[in-house]
Amino acid sequence: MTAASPAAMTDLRAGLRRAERRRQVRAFGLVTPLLAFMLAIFVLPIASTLLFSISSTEMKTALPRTTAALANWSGDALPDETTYAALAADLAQGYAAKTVAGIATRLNQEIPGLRSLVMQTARKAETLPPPYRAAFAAVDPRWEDVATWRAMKSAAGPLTPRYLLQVLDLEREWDGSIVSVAPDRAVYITYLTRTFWMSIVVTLLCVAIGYPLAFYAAHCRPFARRLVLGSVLLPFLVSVLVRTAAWIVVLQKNGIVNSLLVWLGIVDQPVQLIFDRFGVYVVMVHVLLPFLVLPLYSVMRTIPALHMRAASSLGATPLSAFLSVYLPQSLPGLGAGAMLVFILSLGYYTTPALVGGPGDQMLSSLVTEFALEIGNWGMASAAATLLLISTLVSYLTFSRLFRARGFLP
Amino acid sequence: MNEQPSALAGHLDAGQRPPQDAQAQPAHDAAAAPIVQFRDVSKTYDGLGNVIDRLNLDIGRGEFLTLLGPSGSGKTTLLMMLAGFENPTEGDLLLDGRSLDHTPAHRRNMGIVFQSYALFPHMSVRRNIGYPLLQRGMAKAEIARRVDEALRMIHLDGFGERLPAQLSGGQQQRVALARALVFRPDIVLMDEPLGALDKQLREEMQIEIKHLHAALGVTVLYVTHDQSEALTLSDRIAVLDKGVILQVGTPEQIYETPNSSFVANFIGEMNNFPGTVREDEGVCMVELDCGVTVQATNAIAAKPGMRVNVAVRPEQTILSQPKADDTGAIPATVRSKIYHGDHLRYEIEVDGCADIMARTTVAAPERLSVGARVALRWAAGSARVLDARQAR
Repeated sequence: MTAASPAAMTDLRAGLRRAERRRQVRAFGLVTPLLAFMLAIFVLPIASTLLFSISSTEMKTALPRTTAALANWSGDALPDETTYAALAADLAQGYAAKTVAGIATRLNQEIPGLRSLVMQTARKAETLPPPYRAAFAAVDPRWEDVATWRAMKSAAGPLTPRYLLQVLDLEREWDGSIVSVAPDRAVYITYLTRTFWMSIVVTLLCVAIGYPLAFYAAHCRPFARRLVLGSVLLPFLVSVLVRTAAWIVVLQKNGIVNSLLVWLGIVDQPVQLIFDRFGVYVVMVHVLLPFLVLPLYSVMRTIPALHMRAASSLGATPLSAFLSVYLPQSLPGLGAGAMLVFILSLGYYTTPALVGGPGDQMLSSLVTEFALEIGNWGMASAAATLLLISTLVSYLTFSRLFRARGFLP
Repeated sequence: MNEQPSALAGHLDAGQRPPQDAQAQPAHDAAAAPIVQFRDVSKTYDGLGNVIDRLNLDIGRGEFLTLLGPSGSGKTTLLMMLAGFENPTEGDLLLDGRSLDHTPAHRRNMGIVFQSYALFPHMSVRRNIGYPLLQRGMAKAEIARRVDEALRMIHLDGFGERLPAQLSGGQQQRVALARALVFRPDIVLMDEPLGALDKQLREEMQIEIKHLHAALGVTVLYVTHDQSEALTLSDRIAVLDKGVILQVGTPEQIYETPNSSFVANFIGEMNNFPGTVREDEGVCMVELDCGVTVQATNAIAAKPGMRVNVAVRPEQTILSQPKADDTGAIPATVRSKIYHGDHLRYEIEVDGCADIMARTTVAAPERLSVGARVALRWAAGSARVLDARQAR
């Protein structure tokens, strides 16, 4: 082969680039359906959830004239007559169009009681005579209170930190400072601390039960291994609801466990085992155990039994050999398994809802409550966002913890 | 390469034993002061067949003893029993005259080198080598000092912070060796330690291990199925088959005076002539199946009438042009000739008998061509009468 001329080389390079580009286009074409699916099913819903938790557009839709009038209001004194007039027009129109109830509910979140004030005023809005400020004051003196107008200005949006702050039991004062809410209204932060606490307990219980189990499964005879792994995996074949119902049967007041305890004379009276924290832990551990055992088992299978022999020939007692040789090698599996269990626990809903008492509900139940029972999508989204952030933080913490030691979960 | 093991020995053993000349044969006397004794040891896993069958063996202090046998012969089981990972079903294991029955593996003070090295993958080279010292509660500074020395001696200074996976096979082997020696064990057990290395590296490591043994004076029990490795390294070789020791002796004894067909054929190359003992008065005469009667050393006290094998090494055979008055020569035909550089190999078909191999120096006076008729003889005293067990 003779040496190629510079022109030929350039041609060759261009040809290679074209081929490379064709390959990239084809590869992109192949993953496009997946990308589209991910976008529609995963990215968009999450993005809209995040948006819902900070958006506040009800005012603009329901009371457009008032929102515009309040845009340049400083909030130091009562707004001028124009604003009152704008509100009167908005309320009259909203009452006729039956959109006023929504904004009344929204404003009630800012200051409790505003709902009835807005509804009551809206009913009379059409008949109110100018000057409007006096007319409003006649309907209710709260229209002469600057706090009422500040609430409307806060709600005017389009963005609000209210929901995110509220799930953390915080609120923003008019001057912009963030303070804790009054102790009697601080009800949401417990959901967060409880969620973390229960997830930690469930993870620790899973580790305590799952580590020896995985160890046995990884190093026993094939028949025993099939038996152990089978019983760990069996719950996967049964729906969560059925499993949970089965636990209710087993753990209830006159269930098998209680009958056995009474018969053995360990307790005099049947004890509370379900519909409280104990029951939630039992069922959650049962359901989540495979997520710990399986990654751990697969890592343990790769640890040669010879290493323990080598350690022992070098003078290590069985315990010392386990701690210095076996445990460190099993940590990647333990880390991955514990992370799975913890993160799944954070978002757990079914089990606490079915077998827990009111004091055992977690963050996810807050989402359900706001979304399905109260109909406050802002708060529901804020709780969901909090859950999402908790999960991300936990994931990053776990992977940092285990990656820093040279393990990749 | 030759300098380094003696240096290792000198460092590892400073102040403990006077360094011996690496070239000298280590002084040992297996009978006088055995460090390890196997006493009627049997081992069975299923209760049906014995993996080890009533085995007796003494290992002398400072000795390099090799257990040689095919896979499944029980040699690794023997090693694992001595290490404390398996218990004998019957019999006793003695270390310095004391039973090892109730000594767990971690208190036996034996270094073990495994075929797969068994280096701890999550620990650096330093921590691997320091591991036995740490387990013995040694002070950190002393551990660091000894590990530094060991690293220098295996020529891996600067590799201390690497993980085993970042080393080559030969380097890992050195680390495993250093780890098994750094705590100055009474005896080092090596379970086919070179099995995973390529040929050239294996030969280098053989030399290194031999020097280490000579210099440290440490007792070595070495397990291999590679007969040339056993011949190269050992003071004594114990040939195992089916859980029984067939013969124990120096490499010369095992090679030159095997006392069974199995040993004769397992070590080196062997020609087997089946035949029947005709008389055993002073000299043993065997009538070979090919019709010729030959004289051979009776190694198994065979009685007249017994079916036996007459075993002759290829290098002891003498090939010549057949002459009319040949007596005691076996008529045969050259089937093939292979030139090996330093020697020639002939494949010979003996009339009415099996094929055999013959080996001559390249400088042999007569070079035979393929198809030629030859007379086959061997050096006096080089043929041995062995059991008629089918040659492998």
